[in-house]
Amino acid sequence: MTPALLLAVPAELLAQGRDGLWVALLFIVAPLFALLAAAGSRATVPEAGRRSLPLVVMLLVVGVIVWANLSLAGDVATWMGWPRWRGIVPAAVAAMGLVLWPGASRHWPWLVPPGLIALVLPVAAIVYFSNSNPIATWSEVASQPAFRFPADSPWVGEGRRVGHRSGSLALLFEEEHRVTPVDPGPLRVEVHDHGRVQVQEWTLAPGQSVTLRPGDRLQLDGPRRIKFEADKRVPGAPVSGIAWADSSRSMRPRVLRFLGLGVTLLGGAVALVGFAGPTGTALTRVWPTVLVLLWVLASAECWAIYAARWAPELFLGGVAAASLLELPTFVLKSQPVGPQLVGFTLAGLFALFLAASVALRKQLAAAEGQVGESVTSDGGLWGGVFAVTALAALWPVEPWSLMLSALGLGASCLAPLVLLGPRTARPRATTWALGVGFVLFLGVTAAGRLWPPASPLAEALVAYPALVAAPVAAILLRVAARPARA
Amino acid sequence: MRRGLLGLLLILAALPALSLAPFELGAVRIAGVSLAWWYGGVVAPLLAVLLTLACLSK
Repeated sequence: MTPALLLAVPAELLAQGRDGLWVALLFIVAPLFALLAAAGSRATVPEAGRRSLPLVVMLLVVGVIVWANLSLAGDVATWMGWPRWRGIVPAAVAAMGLVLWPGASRHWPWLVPPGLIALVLPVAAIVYFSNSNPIATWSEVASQPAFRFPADSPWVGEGRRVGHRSGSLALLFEEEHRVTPVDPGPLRVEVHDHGRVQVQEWTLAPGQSVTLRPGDRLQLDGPRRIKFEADKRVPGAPVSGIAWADSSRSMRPRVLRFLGLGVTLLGGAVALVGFAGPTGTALTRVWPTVLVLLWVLASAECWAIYAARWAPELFLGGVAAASLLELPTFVLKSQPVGPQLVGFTLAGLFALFLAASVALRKQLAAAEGQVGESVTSDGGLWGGVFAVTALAALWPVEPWSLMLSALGLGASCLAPLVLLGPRTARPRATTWALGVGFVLFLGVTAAGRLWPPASPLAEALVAYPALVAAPVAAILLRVAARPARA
Repeated sequence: MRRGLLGLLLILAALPALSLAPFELGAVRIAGVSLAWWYGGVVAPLLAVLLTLACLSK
């Protein structure tokens, strides 16, 4: 339960509305599926795990998850107005210190309860102070004719940054809207005029504004401070509340996306939980886990519903996980506790990141069969993991896409091994099957970067390479199960 | 365990099935919230938890 995953659930729910429910449901079903799968494949995988390729894949999966969380720490720093390294370096140093501390393997569970309480407390405060229960709030959102800028929005008053990462961003305006850039610099707009598209560029003096018409696109080359008009539609938000709550778009193109997400998250969970070997499936240990999952899911749903109702500005330029942290200040504008609740959430996420780092190290150590051994045996390795991922996180990458890559890699190589079991009679065939899954995953990912996909099928395969790699690896493992010819 | 895994997959599959169902079944309101949100946000997670606990207790 890492922060990059915890924040992805409300972010996907807010950004996609009803479609986001798929991620929310997978968030709870995937670990349960992995628990059952691990319980059914006891004592066979760790032995196979001691081979080098599965261990390398597991290390890559764990490394990319750490990278996703450090990237989120960088996003949070950017959102607070700091350079990225001020979020990444303290998080990486603290996590590395804890991972390398010999007592961490005994004491890390103590970080989880306060982390979860700090994460959930702001949601409880939002529900209490807003005087509106989640069901009534959902109904309000679903009946909204449009998502509009409130008059007291910071994007209307003093103007705020649009876009949270480097890279270009286009805002599509669906009604006439006057925008005022606060920062100096040229303003580029793609103007649609009687079917013709023109790109116009203006350099405005401070305080000057430009009026955009329906269909115009404001092109931004990076984060930029802009003031918007009150009571106008938020660019990038769903057309209406009902479109958000009950998307009536055609289902067919989305089936592949649903399937890709399903294979990636279910397979990734099976790889992380099952590959390390038999897990504790005693009910006394499972009960708290499932209760926590339900608790966190309920909070994530509330977080998204209240954000859609009270902070439609978060749709601006695409929903960013880090910007969701600001929700208490949007909902509790008249209460002084808003900024304190944001601090609570941050502290909770930090505690959960520390706990998740130690848990990931334990999983990797269990896969290597070195549980209980001194941390000095893999201290250098973990130092390297944190150094490399911290450096990589300085370059802004979407944490959720990194999480999907990590889980997809696990689903492509390790999940077939956990679900079907290693082929002890033909160990080389097992390695070959996993190798093909690994190469296919990397190959499809690279092909998608080099040649942008043209059809919905190709788009889904590139977005979720596990859709191809996991079945192929599973088929090869099945074939390897046949007895060798004499 | 296989039955449990299959059950979890069926619980998952019911959510996209609601979107494909005729007469916009997923959009039907129950106590002010659509059926799809009740199922995906409340019913399915609870069902999945209960099914898992039942399988592990055997």
